[in-house]
Amino acid sequence: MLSKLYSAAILGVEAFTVEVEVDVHPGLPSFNIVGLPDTAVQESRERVRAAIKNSEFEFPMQRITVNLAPADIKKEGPIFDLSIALAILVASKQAKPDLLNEYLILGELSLDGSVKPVSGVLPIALMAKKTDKIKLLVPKANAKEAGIIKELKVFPTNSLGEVIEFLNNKISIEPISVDLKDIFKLSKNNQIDFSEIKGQEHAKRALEVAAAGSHNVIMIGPPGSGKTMLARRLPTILPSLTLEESIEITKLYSIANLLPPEMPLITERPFRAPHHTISNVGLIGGGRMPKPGEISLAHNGVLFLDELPEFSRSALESLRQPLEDGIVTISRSLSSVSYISSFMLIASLNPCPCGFYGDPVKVCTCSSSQIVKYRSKISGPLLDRIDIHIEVPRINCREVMEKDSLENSFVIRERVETARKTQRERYDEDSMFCNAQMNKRQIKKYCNIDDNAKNLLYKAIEKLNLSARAYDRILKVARTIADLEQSREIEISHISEAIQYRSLDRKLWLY
Amino acid sequence: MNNIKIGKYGEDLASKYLEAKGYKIKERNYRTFLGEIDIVCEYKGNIVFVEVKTRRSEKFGYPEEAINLNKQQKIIKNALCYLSKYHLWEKNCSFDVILISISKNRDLKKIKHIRNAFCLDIK
Repeated sequence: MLSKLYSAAILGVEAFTVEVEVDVHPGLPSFNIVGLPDTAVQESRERVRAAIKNSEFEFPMQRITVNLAPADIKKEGPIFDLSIALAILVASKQAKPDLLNEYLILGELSLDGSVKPVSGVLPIALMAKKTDKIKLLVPKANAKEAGIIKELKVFPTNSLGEVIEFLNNKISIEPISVDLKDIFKLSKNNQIDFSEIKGQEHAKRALEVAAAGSHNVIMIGPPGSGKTMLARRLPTILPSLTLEESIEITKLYSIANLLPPEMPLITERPFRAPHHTISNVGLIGGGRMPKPGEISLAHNGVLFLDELPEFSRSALESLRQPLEDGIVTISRSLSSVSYISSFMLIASLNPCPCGFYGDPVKVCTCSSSQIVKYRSKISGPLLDRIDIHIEVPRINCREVMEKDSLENSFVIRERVETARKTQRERYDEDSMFCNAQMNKRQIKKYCNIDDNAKNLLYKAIEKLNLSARAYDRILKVARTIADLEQSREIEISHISEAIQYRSLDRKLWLY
Repeated sequence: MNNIKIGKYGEDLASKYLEAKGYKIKERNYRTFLGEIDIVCEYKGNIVFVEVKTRRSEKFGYPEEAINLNKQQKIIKNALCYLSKYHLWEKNCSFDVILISISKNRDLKKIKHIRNAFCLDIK
C-alpha cells in the first residue's frame, strides 16, 4: 500500500517541502530509502525500525521503499525520522492517513520512540506560512521556535506513540501559543554600560556616530587603551531589534544549531568576536556542507575583529564582498548558497607590532620594516570600506580614577534611535535603513553641501591625499552627524568632524 | 556420528518443531544450482524460508556466526528462485533461522527459533 506524508528540509538557508512517500508490499523483506539520502538519512532506517517496534507497533516484514521527493535534491539530517515512521505505519494500515497528510511533520526519532529536536525549524516555519500547510507537528523542544509565526498551528509532540494516540482522538494536544512580549522580556539586562569607560570622549563620540549610521569602525591605539572595552559596549547603544530583524537572525542561528534551548528568538543584537586564528571557512561560512560563518552570525549585529593584522590575509580579503554587498555567496561544485550578512564591522589594532609607535610615554621598539609589514596587511581597499577611523590613545591616571562619566548607554541609545528614525523615514522607499548603505545616486540626492563646505572638503582631500572613495565616505558620515543633531542640512561643522575620521588614511598608512 | 548425519538429524527435529507450531512444510532441502534451502514452509499465508543449524551443546554460537553474509546472499537467491518457480510474488516472505543444540547422545537440548533473521536492505 502507498502512503504519502509531508516533511521539510533546509538547503543552505532556504527551506523546502519534502514529500515522504512509502510503499509497502509483499515480497522479500527489505527497507530502502531513495531520494539522495545522506548518511544520517540512511541511518534513519535503524532508528525508525527500533522506534516502531518499541512503540508497540508492528514493523512490517515486507518490501518497504521510502522515497523522499523531490528526488534530485540532497536530503540531509535526521529530520525525516518521524515522518518516515508515520508513513510506514499508514502504509501498513496501523494508522489512518486522513489527518496526517494535512501536517508538516518534523522530528528525529530516538530508539525508544521519543521525538528529539532538530535544527532549522524557524526557516521551515517561515516557508510553511507561504504554503497551505499551516499545521505543523514538531518536537516539543522546537515548538516555541515554530510558534513565533502566528499564522501557524504548531503541535508539539514527545513520542511516536503520542502522535498515534492524538490521531485516534485518545488524547488531545494543544497547539502552542507564544507571547512575543514575554520572549523580549526574557533578554537579560545588560551588565555592561558605556558609562564604565573613563575618559576617551573622542572615541565614545565616534562610536555614537558609527552606531547612528551603522558605519564600520577601526580603532588604533596602544595595548590597554580600552579598544576592546569600547567595542564590547557598542551593542548597548545600538537600537533595539525589530521583530523582522530578530527573525532574520534567528533563522541563521537555527540553521547553525546555535539557538539556546529556552530562547526561541534572538532578541539582542549579536556580538561576535572571533579569535584571529579563525579559518576562512569559519569566518565567511562554507565547509563541505555549507554552514553560516561568523559574519553571518553577526548579521544585524557587530563583528569585532581584535588585532586585525593578525588575521590571515585571505580571511581579510574575503570580507570585501559582504562588506560591500551585504551578502556572501559560497559556491560549491553542486550548488551555491547565499547567506545574508549585513553587520557592523569594528576592527582594532595596535599602531605597530610592539604597540607603542607614536606613544608619548613608551618607546617603540620596532624596526621600520616590521612596521611597514605589519601595516601592509590591511590593504587600501579594505580600509576604504571602513568609514570611521578612531585613535584611542592611552589615558592618564587622573582620568582613570575619575568617577563614571555622566552619560550611560540608555541616554546615548535614545539619540541613536532618533537619528535612525530620521534615516528610516528618508529611505522609506529605498529598502535600506541607514546612511552607511547609501549608493552614489543616493549620496548625490541626500548629501548636498554648500560651497563653503565643498571647498573645505576639496582642500582636505588634496592635502591629505585621500582617494575618491574617501570623498563619498566623508559625506555619508557627515550626513549621520547632521542627523544626530537633527539638522536637515549638512553644515560645515559636520563635514569637518567627518574629515577627522579619515585622517588616519594618510597619517599612518602612507607607504 | 558425522556432521552430515547430525545436520540431517537436526533438520528433522526442526521440521517436527515447526509442524507442532502449525507451520505447513512445503519442501525440504530445496536445491538449485545456486545452493540449498533447508526448509520451505507456510504459516498464516506467509512463506517462510528456514535455515537450520545444529550444534553440539558446548558451542551455541550467535546467529551472525552461523550465517554470514555469503550464506545469506545464497539463501536469498534461492528464495527468489523458489518464488519465481511457483509464481508466489504476492505472498509475504520471511527468512527464519532455527538453531538446535543436541547432546552427545542425540538428545534434544535446546531449540532457538529466530524469526525474520535477516532482510534485503541495500547497504
